[in-house]
Amino acid sequence: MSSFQDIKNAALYEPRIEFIKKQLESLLSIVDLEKDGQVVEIDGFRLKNLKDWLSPSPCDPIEVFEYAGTRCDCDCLFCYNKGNPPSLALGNLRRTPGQELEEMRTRMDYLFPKAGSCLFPSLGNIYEVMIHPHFFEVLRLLRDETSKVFRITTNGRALTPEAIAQLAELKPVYLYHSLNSASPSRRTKLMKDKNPRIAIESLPLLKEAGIPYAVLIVPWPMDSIDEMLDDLSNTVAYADSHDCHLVEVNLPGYSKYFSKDKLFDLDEVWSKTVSRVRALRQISNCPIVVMPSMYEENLYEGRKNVPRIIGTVRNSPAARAGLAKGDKILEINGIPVATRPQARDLLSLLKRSENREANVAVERAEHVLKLSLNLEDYSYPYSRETDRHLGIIFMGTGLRISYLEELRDIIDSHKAKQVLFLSSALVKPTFEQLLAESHLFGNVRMDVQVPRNNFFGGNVFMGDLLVVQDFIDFIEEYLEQNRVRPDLIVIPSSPFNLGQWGRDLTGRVYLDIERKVGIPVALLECGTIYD
Amino acid sequence: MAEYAFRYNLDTEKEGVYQDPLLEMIRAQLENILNIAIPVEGQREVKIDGFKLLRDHKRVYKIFPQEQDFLEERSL
Repeated sequence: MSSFQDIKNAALYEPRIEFIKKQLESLLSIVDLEKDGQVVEIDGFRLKNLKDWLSPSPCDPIEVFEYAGTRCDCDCLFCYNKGNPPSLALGNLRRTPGQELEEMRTRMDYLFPKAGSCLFPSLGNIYEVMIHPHFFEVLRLLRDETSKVFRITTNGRALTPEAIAQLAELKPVYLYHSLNSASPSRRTKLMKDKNPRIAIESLPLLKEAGIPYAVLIVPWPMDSIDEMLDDLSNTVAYADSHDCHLVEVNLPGYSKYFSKDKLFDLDEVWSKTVSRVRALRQISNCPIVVMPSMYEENLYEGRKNVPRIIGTVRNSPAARAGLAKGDKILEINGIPVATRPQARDLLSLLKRSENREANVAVERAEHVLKLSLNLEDYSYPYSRETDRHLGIIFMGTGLRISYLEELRDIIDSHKAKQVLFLSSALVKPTFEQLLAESHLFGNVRMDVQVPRNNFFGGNVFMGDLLVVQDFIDFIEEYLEQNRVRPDLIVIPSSPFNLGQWGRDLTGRVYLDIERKVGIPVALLECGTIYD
Repeated sequence: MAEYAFRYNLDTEKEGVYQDPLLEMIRAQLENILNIAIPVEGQREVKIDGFKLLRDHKRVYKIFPQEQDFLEERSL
């Protein structure tokens, strides 16, 4: 029999289950249930007909195989899972691999791509999927059902020639390879990987097998920042030499549960890493992105949200047409483009269309160039199935101007005049730029503030990791310090986006903020900008 | 292979806010509903934070008592 599910996890993804639990508990506090005249003691319940529990979904295969990621065979110095607060609603159940297979097969049975629905999620912390004994069995079953890309994140320890051969039979596959370092000794120290050569030597094998991959690097200031940066350079060069599709540099951070002591100066490590990445972009053929990208944008770009190219995927239509780092897109197929989200949307549309070519006008060194892209002219590591923007890489998603129109609608519907908008340190500069250029808010006083991440603590400052209590604490402090009381508080929905029910990462509903502070609170619908 | 069973445990030993179990049942059920649905009148969202019993229109009970209310109720 499977074990009990975690109710906090259900509160996050499908709070109607938490609702049922509380309703039953409430009723059982005042009545006993009977069968055949005898009182029946119960201690739990189970979902009866799983078809009743479907939720809207893009039905990506990852929604099944990610449930294999319950264990890990590395012990990374920087593993964020070690710093998760205990009340996070993302705990893992203790189950056998067989029980996990049972859940994955059941999830497969309830995956309805045509209807766009699947079973509600119940994901906990995600670890390494490839070491699950039933991983390939699940992938093969999924491949019988879907031709969608398998996007697999792995630490690379299991990427033996045999495993790569199996993956090659399951194409289209795209790997996010957490290589972290191409130095065997440093990888061993960073990740406690006793056999680092498997992961390191997998890069040429992946290329040989025609499987595109991104190399993920968390630069961790082990030993010294200079050693970290030198290793970053060497790892990028190694990835580049094996036709890596993309290098993704994930800037490091830690919560107060990870370490009570200050481990490094975040701004020093982050700014030096970004500076090194910008230098590496000049000599590397593969694009290098820094996550969160808005940190780099805030540091270097006076004007935000610009559709400037920071790299092109080797052998992509964009690269072959001559698009280059530094180009600013002006038009796509004659349609003027002003922001990054616009450019990304148009490129995605083109990629999904039947078009065989596209025309892109760019600004390069104060000249306008018009380039023609042959959408059928590409080869590895680019592929039509796995790439989204014809091989063009930007500095993140950017911020949609349409958010301002939605914000105006929210303010109008509340008839508000004094608005407190709670942003994040990363998004605030771009948001304020959009606000300053907008004529939508003439009669509204808007105060843009940034709450602290007390819940995670440490040096975490991502807006999407704020929880309900962080917002309450900040607003109460704000009200004490400011004489003017806002008549509306607006919060971007992204900290509550993991499920579809306005819950934070602890499973608590955002409505508690308004209940506590006594001022109307509205969510501005927006996607995560961690890209 | 059998269908996976999504099972959840029940904790019937929980303490409520109100000592009167029938009153607490109504409060808890309203609180639960308001955590997954927003009441509307016509198209307009309605914010509620309390309730009255039909047999006694004079007394209002809070749905979301603050911690202080909880302690006061317990000490009655």
